[in-house]
Amino acid sequence: MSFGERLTGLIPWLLACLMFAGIVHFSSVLLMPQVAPHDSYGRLAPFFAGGGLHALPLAEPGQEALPFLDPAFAYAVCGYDLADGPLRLRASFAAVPYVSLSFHSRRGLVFYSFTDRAASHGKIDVVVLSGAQLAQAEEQDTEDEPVQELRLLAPENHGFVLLRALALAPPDMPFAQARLAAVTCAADKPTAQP
Amino acid sequence: MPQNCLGFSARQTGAPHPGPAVLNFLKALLSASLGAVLGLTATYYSVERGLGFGAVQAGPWTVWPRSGSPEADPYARATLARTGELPLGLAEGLTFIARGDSSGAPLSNDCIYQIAGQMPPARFWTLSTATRDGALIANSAGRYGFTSAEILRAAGGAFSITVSRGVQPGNWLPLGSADGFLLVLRFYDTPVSATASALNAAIMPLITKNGCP
Repeated sequence: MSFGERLTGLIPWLLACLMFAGIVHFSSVLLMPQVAPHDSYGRLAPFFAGGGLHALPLAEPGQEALPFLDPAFAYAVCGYDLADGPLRLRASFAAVPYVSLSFHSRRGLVFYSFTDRAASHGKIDVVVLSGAQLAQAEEQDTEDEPVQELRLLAPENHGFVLLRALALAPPDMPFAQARLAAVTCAADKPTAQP
Repeated sequence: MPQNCLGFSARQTGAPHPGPAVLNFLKALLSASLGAVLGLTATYYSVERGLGFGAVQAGPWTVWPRSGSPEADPYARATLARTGELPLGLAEGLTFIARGDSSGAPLSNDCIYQIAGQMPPARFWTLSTATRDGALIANSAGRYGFTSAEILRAAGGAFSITVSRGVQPGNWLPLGSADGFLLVLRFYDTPVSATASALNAAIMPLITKNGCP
């Protein structure tokens, strides 16, 4: 067998190798969110205990709850399981430099976000619901009473809300923390069946 | 395990030229293992180094405009799951990261950097330092970043932030002694979000190295 023939013989193996590399690469990327042990949900799990709103510790070297947190911000999280009922979040954000909320799925993806600019008269009233809960809520709506709350359809039952409040300078940090502490975030009582 | 059986039998017979079946099997094994190594290396580089698709370059700054949306691509999802960081939502703002200065040289803790120039429009911006893993870097001044509201500006509104280990006059962002660092520039409530694909270096601040004492 000549050198050229040997080389031509290798081409199918090389192609197979590249194809296999592609399959391994894409499947490992797609699998990563399922197998990564230290994803945001796992890191925040201690703050979800008991439900409700929990402030994250102030960003100091060595005690950050998550990587890449902005040191100028106060953070709070509110974990939910929609099996306990829809999640209701009420807040009042008047005269704040910047406050924002992001709604995350179990995998950490943002499915909705807004800032204090979206508040009507400084008030925020949000309900996070599953598909069935949304249908039930819409059934109970009456036509002459406009819906006052913002309804968000969650992609899955488990998830969390991350709240951010900016402190323009370090002395403003307690003010930002107090703003977040005043937010109420809890499962709505299951609505009575007629 | 079939490959062990085949490999063993080939050695046991002591044949100087293994049969074509055995040879093909070894080639297949080699292709598969080489492929697995290649595939995992590609995953490592795209996930650990954040080199996935969807990144937009603007001078020394890199932004992943879609990572904070439900349409985040699989690479962004894998990277977020791996690092555990939470991206800013589309309505909240944009995060830019610089690993090098405007000339392309990697950022070093031993050097002095000047950050100045244009800033895209935003309600607020913050500039902070972080390790390559996104942790804060301990420093004696206890300062890890600046907000747009607290920096000292020249009469015309121009600003300059100095990043260095040693004390500097003006807006000094101290650097600890971590091994390398990143600059993180965040724009909160910015109209840039919608047009991230049209971002370019001209609207972003420059990172200039001012020597390495």
